[in-house]
Amino acid sequence: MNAFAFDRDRLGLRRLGLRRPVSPALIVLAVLVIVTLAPAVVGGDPLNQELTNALQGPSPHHLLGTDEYGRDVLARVVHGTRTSVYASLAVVGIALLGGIVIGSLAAAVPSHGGRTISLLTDFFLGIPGVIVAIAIVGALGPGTRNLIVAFAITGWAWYARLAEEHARQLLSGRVVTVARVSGVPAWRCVSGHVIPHVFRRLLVVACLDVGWVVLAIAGLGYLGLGAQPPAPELGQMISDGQGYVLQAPWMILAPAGALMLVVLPFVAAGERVHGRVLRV
Amino acid sequence: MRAALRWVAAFAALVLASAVAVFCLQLLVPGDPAATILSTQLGRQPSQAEIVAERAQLGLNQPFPTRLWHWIEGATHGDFGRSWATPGNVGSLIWPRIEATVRLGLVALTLAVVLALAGGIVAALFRDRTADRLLRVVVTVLACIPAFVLGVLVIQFVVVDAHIGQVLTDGSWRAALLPGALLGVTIACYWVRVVRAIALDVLNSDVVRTARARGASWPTVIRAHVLPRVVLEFLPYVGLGIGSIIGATAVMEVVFSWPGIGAYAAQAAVRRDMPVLQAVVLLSIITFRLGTDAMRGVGWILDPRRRSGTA
Repeated sequence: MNAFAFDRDRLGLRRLGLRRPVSPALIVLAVLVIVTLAPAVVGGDPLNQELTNALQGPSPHHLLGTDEYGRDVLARVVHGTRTSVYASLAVVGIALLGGIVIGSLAAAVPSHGGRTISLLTDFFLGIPGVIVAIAIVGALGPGTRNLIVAFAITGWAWYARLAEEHARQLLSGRVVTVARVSGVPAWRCVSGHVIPHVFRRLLVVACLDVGWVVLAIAGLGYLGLGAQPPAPELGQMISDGQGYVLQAPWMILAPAGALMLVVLPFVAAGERVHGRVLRV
Repeated sequence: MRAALRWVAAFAALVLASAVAVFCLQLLVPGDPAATILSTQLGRQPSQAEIVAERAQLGLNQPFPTRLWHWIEGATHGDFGRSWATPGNVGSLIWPRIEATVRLGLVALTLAVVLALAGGIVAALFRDRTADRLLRVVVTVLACIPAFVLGVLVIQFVVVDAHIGQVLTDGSWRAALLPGALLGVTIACYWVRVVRAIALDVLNSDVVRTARARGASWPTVIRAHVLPRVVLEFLPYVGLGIGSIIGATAVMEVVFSWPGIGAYAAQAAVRRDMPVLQAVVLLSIITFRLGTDAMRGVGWILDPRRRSGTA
């Protein structure tokens, strides 16, 4: 590892696509299926208030107890988790597609055009994500949709940089050269040879990021910038539960546990992949 | 010398570009800011005349380029305009909070660096043995728990029940220890893996093998070969950590009601106080660049290979 490797390869993830030790896409799929089906399986209305039943502990009727308005915590957690995972997938999907297109263009567009796009990527790589996301949500107003926009704006550059590097390699490689010589126009080389390859390689990285984005969304939710009450939001639920730590600890433990269960497979897969690639 | 000049030019360009981009955040605000501010201040629908007066006072009736120019010109001497949500200048509102955040950040980063270096090198030395596995499990699990959950639990069980630390913090060094430690541990969770990977590379290198073959003891090898190289390659990550400290502390600041800039930015976002957000974002972008470049500079000073241009 060269001392400046950091510039090009911040986490050693660039080499990921070369081998596929675990399939992060499979994890994404499994989590997606589970969170989609869970609300139907669990049943219960996340918004239904039974004020006479507030702050009740776990019981057969409310498996994870009720919150300060007597709403079923389990139903809220399940619905909140679904919102978070969907939002996270939207963020990663938008950032990935945007990054791939912009990165491939930066590599493919000749001279100044490409360099300008590259500079734009540099600029966005040089902004601290969280605080800028907070500011964008502040401007647009809180809510899940605006949160997705904010994280996509602050997150695409990393994919664009990876895509650009990979696209450069591909563009100077044999496949594209042969295609160009046999008369295939440049834009078809990019859309037919470069983008599919780049996509396949970046998909692994992107799938692993889904877990982090879920955590980040919960963080902004805790700050009150996510889905607005009364909609269930994991971070917001933890923030609400703070006032009832002793009376109703399940109000914090349930959403926190759900977050952990969702994020753990991604982090564990990342750890596995990371270990394999960097261990040499 | 030329490198320094080039750096200054690039830095100036970055600051200018970010200032423009940051000011454009205002364009994203839907509706008329003057009307929004007035209705929150007065608690009723403002009249048309009031809105016009408020627009004039905020300078919102001037064309966009003029406002942009005024804002940038003011920002050069620390004047970021008037807050939309509270009476007072943005500058005087955020400077004291930056100090508190710096305290918290320094405590957290120092602890994170120490923990990450120690943990990572130990894990690499005991690779795939019990210590390494245990550390990896702990780090993986901790990484999945959001920092604010840890914070909330610590407040309840350490501060309230065991009477260690304070619930309402004043931003002093003493008060920074507890939230700083928590934040440090969560940051160290990300870094331990990085250090472990770097340390494994170094441990597998010829230098270490030769030193061991010469009969050098492990402590000597670690001190003379492993630590210096690990630190050099780890520096960029520390730079990233220093650079993103303004955003990274935000959630922990809210949990511990820390009077810092991150919590203030979150509050400003809820109140849609754009002048405050603009100032904080501009400062955070500058901090990011300075932090990462400063650590690059330190690496250059510490690394004789880079200084002499042989690497």
